[in-house]
Amino acid sequence: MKNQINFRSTLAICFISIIIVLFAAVWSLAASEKPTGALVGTVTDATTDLPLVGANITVVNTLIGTSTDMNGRFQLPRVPVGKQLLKVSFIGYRAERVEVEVLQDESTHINFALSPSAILFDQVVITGSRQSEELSEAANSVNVLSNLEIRQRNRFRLDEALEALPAVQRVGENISIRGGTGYSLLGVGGSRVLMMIDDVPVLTSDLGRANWDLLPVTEVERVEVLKGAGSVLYGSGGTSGVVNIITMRPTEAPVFKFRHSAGVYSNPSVPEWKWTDENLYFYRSDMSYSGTIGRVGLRLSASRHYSTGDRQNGDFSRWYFTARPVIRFDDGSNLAIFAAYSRDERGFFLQWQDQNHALNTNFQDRIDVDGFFISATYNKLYSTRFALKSRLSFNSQLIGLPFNLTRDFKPALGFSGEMQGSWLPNDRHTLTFGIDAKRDLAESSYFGEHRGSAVSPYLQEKWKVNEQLQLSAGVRYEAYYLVGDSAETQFSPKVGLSFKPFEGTIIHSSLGRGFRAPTIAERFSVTDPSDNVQLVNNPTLLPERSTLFDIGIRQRIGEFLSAEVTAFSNSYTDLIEIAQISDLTIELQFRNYPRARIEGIETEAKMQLFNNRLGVQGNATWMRSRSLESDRLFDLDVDTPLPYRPRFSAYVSPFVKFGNLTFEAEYRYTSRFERVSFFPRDERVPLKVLDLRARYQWKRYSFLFQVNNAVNYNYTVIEQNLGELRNFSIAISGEL
Amino acid sequence: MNEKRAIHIQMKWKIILSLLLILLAGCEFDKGLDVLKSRISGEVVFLGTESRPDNIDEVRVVAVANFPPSGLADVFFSEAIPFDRDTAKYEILLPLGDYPAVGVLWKPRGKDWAFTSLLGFYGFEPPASASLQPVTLTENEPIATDIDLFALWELARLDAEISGTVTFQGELPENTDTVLLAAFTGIPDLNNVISLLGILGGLPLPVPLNNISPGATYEFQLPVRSGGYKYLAAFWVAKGGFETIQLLGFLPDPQDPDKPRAFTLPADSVLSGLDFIADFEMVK
Repeated sequence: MKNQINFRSTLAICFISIIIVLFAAVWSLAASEKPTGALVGTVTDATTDLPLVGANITVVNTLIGTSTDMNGRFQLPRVPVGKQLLKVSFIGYRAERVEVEVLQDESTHINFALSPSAILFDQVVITGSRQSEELSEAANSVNVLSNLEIRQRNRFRLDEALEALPAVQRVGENISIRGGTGYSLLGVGGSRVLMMIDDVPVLTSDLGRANWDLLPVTEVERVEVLKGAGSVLYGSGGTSGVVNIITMRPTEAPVFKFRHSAGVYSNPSVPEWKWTDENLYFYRSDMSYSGTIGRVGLRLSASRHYSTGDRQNGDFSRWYFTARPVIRFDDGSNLAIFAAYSRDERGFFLQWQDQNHALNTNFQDRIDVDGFFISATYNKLYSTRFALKSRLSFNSQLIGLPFNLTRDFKPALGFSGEMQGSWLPNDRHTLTFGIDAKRDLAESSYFGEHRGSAVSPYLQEKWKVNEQLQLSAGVRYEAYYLVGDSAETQFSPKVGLSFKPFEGTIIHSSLGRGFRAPTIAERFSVTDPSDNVQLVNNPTLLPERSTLFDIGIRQRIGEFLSAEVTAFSNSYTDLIEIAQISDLTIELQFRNYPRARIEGIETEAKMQLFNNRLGVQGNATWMRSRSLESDRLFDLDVDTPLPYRPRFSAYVSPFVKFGNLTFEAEYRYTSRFERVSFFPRDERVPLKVLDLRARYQWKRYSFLFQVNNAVNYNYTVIEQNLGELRNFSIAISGEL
Repeated sequence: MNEKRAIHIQMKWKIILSLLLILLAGCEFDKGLDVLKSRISGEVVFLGTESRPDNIDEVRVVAVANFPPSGLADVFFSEAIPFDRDTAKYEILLPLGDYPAVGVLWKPRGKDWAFTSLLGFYGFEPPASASLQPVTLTENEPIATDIDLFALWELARLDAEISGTVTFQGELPENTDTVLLAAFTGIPDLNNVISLLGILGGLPLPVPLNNISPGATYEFQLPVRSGGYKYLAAFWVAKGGFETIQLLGFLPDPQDPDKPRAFTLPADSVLSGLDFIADFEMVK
């Protein structure tokens, strides 16, 4: 009966949403017939003349916008004739606003040369509002990692690259934002960070896992990390945040890009840990081609990554392929397709043999991870004030688990579709609304065959009250049905504000609810009695819910210094965690955790001096996580810290430039976890990792020498699993 | 002039950088984790080889930081030790601290580790003594050698079987961890958990909790050692450990229902029809 009521109310809400979309579309169509022209040009670095990839160009007070391709070029068709205010921004550069005259049926050329700047928030983001908005005016806490930063740091995986951001930690296979995620045993537990590719959620349908290695980092234009209630616009999964990966677009002119990297591992700093006389090494090659033929832009890439690993059974072999065709139509609309396939064959280093043989293991399990994702998005700008986006996507993933558990899994399949409208009724209001639907299919001998579906309408309004104050409010209704089982429903409301009391100062705040339905694996997994891990099912598992609040200030001092300080308080109810349910045997079950709260302060600052020859960027986060109730099963008292949450973490990265030669250092510190789940009596130390690199830029080629973990510091994040040993690598990248 | 100044500035930077590098090279860096120097080691003496079961997967020595252990986190395992001989050496790397119990566990093939699969413990010297001896590792004495253990294969030999039914009465308490069926060669003292291990006839059988409701009957089959038995009973264990083990009911003597029934099992025999009642009203 309850399901029927939920279903009816969802249908009613969906119906109303569709009516609103159609109404707005018809209304806007009527007002769309105005003469237009085009704007084309390039965006380059003023100091090096090199093209800036992924710089944002927007026509102010309209929905017209784009970003630069790999050659730094951009094209804005169908811009209304007359004087238009154009804004160009790129992370790490000073934003510029220029007034241009657009002529009817003509292309107006305009080039921008941006100067490097220490301003962290002179950029455009889309995550959090589903619309391009200036980060300086965003109510949400959003951090951006650009392709330039990923390339310069020679990172191979997205989750490695994200560790440079404030309050972002890698805990095993999971990314944790503001301490929202702990460690899930063998990765069976779902992610509390919603991973998206170009606005499309891509968590696996069975385990709810994020495959951070689904696509090569060289195909990423930028990553936006939303720290706050992502469930409002994106649905289940974003209980503690959202990581939105914006992929590269095809270029107008043909271009071939490459990056080759190779390196070796040092011997361990503890001689007793040396486990082989073989040389331990790795190499990585990334190649891409991009160009346009007629109406079709095409981008193709292939990557190969091989490593012997630095430990026994730590080797892996990976392949990645992506394709991105974009078809432009006469009316200015386009169809963008993105497909990614990756395969990872590797050993699984579950835990060390013992602390005196920290690089040896007794487990010789090998796992395969297969991922395929494809999405097709049709973008149509009906007028400068109304746009519609429709998309379909398919996600097929087989995440490998140790102990041969995956042998009885079928790839988890996810189908989804969405329609989203954006409407600017006037210069002060922006309305975003839409509806999305998804279907999950998962099958394995451990949880049987399950099908689930969700239908979710959403709505968000942004109101620019005046030049100083901007308010936003949004709501999403989520209804998730498991066939033959109960339904989960959730209203996720969110409000936010940004206030500019003085030039250069922005105060921002947001409050919202997050939601994550239990995954099929968390609810229904039962292992075979002969398996090493005994997992008991829990069909009555409740969904996780979070209430996320933050308030912060963004401050700039001239062009050489900017800083942001944000305080947050996030409350969680019914977190899904693994528990040992019997003292007699090693029987585990996913259970709902008692209420918990994580509060803290995060800071970020960037400074550049002497015409960008010397600079430093850093962040620090203080956090307190605690249980609000006692629970015998989880061994919790009131105020007990949650496991795998650090009290303090910091990151600092200085650089110095001598002409084309740049020296950089990165230092990451994470305090010792106060609590861990599996081997709490094992010795634990803080994480202290220093990376050093020297980079030489010659024309369009870059040469890099890098030392990761330069002092060969030994630490564990997950118990009995040592951090990566020191390694030396060289890399060359460029384009032909 | 400007060119000269630029060269001068560049030189200055290079000198500063070189000095910084020299400074870094001269620093003593914290290396983090190192090898663990604290450990216990000794020898396991296997007794009664003729009773050794065929379905042994592994044998390991374990040290527990809390007794009774409240979960995996309290237990440190040695590497698997050879069990096809009379003695085997072992070593367990352990952080400094108190270890109230050190024991030898065996794991049947196809089953998981269970703390009840005990072959012996430190302080168990059959037939002379059976009291737990703690081991303490300190800064001054991080290594404890000669922690020798006797392992009695007799405790693992399961060459007979008993079967019957248990009928449950009363509501299952919410804080139930497990409900167990076990047969003993003597009358157990529930206030002395460790003493139970010496008289256990085989692995206790956990009853699936979803099979338990007022009036429900559970059919059991329990592999045990051959020999004489004085007590077959059902026990209730609360969440949090064995300190709270309580009797639910025992197999009564048909002549005197207030007394437990004794029975004898020859090798390779099966005794069925052992029916009794387990009452949750007895939980205090």
